[in-house]
Amino acid sequence: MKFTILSTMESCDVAFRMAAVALLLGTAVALSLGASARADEDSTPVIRFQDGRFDPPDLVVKAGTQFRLRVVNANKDPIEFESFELNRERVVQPGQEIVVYFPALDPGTYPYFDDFHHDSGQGTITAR
Amino acid sequence: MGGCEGGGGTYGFLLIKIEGGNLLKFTSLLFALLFCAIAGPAWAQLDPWEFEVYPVQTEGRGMLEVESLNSIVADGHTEGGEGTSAGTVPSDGMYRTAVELTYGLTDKIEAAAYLNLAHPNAGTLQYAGSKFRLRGSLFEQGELPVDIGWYVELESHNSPRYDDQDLELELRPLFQKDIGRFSIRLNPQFEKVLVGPDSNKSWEFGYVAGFYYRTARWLSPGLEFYGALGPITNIDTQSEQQHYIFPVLCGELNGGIEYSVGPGFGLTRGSDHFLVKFNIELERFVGALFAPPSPATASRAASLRAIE
Repeated sequence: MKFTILSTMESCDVAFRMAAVALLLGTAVALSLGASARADEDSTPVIRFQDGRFDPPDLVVKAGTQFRLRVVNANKDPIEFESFELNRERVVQPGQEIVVYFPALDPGTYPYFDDFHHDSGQGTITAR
Repeated sequence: MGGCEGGGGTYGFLLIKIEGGNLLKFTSLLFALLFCAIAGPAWAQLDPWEFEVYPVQTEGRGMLEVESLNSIVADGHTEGGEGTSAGTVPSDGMYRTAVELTYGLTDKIEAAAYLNLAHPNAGTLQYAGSKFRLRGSLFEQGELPVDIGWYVELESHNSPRYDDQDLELELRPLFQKDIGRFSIRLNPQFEKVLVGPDSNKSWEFGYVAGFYYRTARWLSPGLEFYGALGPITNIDTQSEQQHYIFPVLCGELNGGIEYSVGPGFGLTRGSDHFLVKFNIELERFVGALFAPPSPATASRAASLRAIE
């Protein structure tokens, strides 16, 4: 009898832990599927990729201040917005846009490029 | 993602509205749940087929990565079950290789499958096991002071030669912090035997961590750390634990080939003494299996947000 109660308690314990793991994973997947704040998008600077080039080719931002950037891919092919100097690498699907978060930058010029089209898509972000 | 570059992944349109503050609370709850879930009655065996530290960022939607993970134990243990050996085959002279295929399912979730092969000293290449995993990032890179992600893996083995446990579950919260050209990654590991002789034992704890300094795209130095401490409820003695340090060089070469290579040094008696790892990977855009929301749908979602 004692063994049965203990076994039942252990089963409940295992069930609880499995449920907790399932809940944890479900929540993580749900967050990964959708969550990200996108308030004040209108004030976010935009870089648009069209006809094989980024526009504007040189974006000027304020040095020493965190900022966000919208990257719009107006092409029919995917692009990969990448900058080694800025440590960012993001795929942008055709007709879609992404928001990229940057830390406060020291004054200087930071190159970026489209990793899928090295020969055409390049640009810079200048922090002043 | 096996190199030292931290990028990757894409951003999707907002489908679930969660404000930043609530999201933080939600994440806190998430990790509180994690520790509730793992605090039960298991022993952390290092995964010698994968010496890799994961960034929080995942492969972009529609990206396919093929990776070859390799390690050679140049100076290991001559008895099975010691050092990086979890089965009857000793670790000394062991060449392990794994083929990994990773695909970006969504903007922030990737799926991967592994085939683990072993080449014991002067032996033939043998099947050692398989792994399947999902990995995700919870926020945009740089959105929070520390980037947070998650990792869940199921691993089956060719028991008992290479691991006497049949099926294991591994969970990892992923953390990453970029400070200028420095990048710090931390992957605590929690592993539980689901099927096998140790299925009644508690969760095991281990860790994977890396510090990198991004000097050039094609070559950056780093230090990686791998360890296994044993069951959470009964941590192994220091000499039984495994701890390794790997000075590594990593980077991306022309053609999108990324690599990570370096010698590994065991720091305890329970560790193998000297091994070498070399990982190489290639990624290509192959097309999204699950299309992102169309611009029209996204525009509707934006209008709804504006109304709210």
